[in-house]
Amino acid sequence: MSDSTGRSVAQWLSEGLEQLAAGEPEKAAGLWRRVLEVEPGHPVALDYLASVGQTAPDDAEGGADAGPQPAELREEALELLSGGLIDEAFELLTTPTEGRAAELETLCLLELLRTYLYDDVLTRVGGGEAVPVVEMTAEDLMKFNLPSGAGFLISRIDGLTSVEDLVAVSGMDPFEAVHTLGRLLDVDIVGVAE
Amino acid sequence: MSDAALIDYLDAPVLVGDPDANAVHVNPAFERRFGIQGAQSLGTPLAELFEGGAREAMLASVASACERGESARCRIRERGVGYSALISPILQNGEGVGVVVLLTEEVEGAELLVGLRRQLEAPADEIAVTLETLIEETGGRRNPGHRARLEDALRNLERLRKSLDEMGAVLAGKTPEVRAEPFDPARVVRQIADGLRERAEVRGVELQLLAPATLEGFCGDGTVVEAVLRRMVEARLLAEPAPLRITLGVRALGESDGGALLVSLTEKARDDSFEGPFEDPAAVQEGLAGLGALAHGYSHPRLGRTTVVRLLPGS
Repeated sequence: MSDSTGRSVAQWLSEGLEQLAAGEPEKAAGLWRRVLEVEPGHPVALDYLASVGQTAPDDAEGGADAGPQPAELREEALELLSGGLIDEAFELLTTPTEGRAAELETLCLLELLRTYLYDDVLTRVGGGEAVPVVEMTAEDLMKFNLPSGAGFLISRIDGLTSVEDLVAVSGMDPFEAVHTLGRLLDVDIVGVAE
Repeated sequence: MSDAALIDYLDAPVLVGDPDANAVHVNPAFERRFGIQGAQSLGTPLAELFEGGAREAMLASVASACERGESARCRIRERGVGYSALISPILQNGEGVGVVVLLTEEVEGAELLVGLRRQLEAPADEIAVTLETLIEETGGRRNPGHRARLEDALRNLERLRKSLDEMGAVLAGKTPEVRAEPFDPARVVRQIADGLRERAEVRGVELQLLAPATLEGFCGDGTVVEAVLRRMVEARLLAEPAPLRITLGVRALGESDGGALLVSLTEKARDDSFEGPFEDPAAVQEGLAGLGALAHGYSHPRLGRTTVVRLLPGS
């Protein structure tokens, strides 16, 4: 489908990307909304709009019911960050992205947080070659209601395997594995071998 | 207006043949350019309206189109002019009832390009063999850096060959295929990191990888994705001042993100914080737009700066 100037849906999608690359997210969103006017529910246009924190024209009114807007969450996360609450900022941003496409600026902040938290744990243990050890007996561990990922990671810790190798053999996403290890360090379930 | 009358208005030479590929109509453009009057040509086998090599090429292509019921192409030269010929069978209820030949004058230099393309193929093959031999002889486990560089060169060579194939397709009047096939983005970023690690060390930059072992099955043009991401990392390595660390991350986003992939280039500042997000060169931005990828930069005084690239399957 095309407008009176002959421009097609594909062109609007493409021009929107160019506008975004030129630092004009509002103009980009305008072009993608035009796609939705002629093809309501166009999945790529919806996806692109969501990526710049925008909604389809019909969704705009219902936005309030859909929970906090990405910009509000980001502001809240930045406040937490300024207070040094990095883990809390990370949790805040990860939870609401479930069930809907994440917005690009939020993803940026999340990636910064993931990298920071990953490095922080590696620094705390003394690098990827450090060897983690379980500091509790199996009986004591049973008292904790550990998430499955944490339980699995503990099962791989044998007092000989380095953090790097642990990440590799766990098959987990490296950030998830290291972040989980960090939490186990926080509660003294896991320590580092001398 | 009859079909024959319509094609008479075309600037391009057109011939129409019967089921036995004998000429039943030629348009004025053909008469004018080939010096043959329509009346003289009627009933003549189409191929015999041409001479020498053009006749051979046309004979084979017309036979192929009639036999297979599919369009065929060939390239001919007549009276010093190069033409690209498209020979299409005319089908009615699946039966061949005729054949139509459209001759398009080739752009100046097209023949030269065809020749150059052929000349490039042979040395590319030889370079590939040499690189593979070098990998076997010197790039074993003892020297992973050396091996990574050679493999990098092989991948670049493969990219060159694919481009040559595309160029051949364009010269033959075909639309090059979009190479959307499954690839492993985790492997791609690992290759980029391995290939650029030494250059990063020279710049005093730590190149860190934050990627799972595998993310197999993402569909897209892995070659182009790799080329664009490599340029992005290279651009950051060349920045002044260079960052202390670049973390190249890749992960799959959830179902709600339509199976999208997120690649991130996160930089840690050396001394002070960054002044703002990194601005990628225009070539990178064009490459990303060509992939249909969404990219966004962001900086934070404490956490550093990052650029995320969101790729949808089929990019």
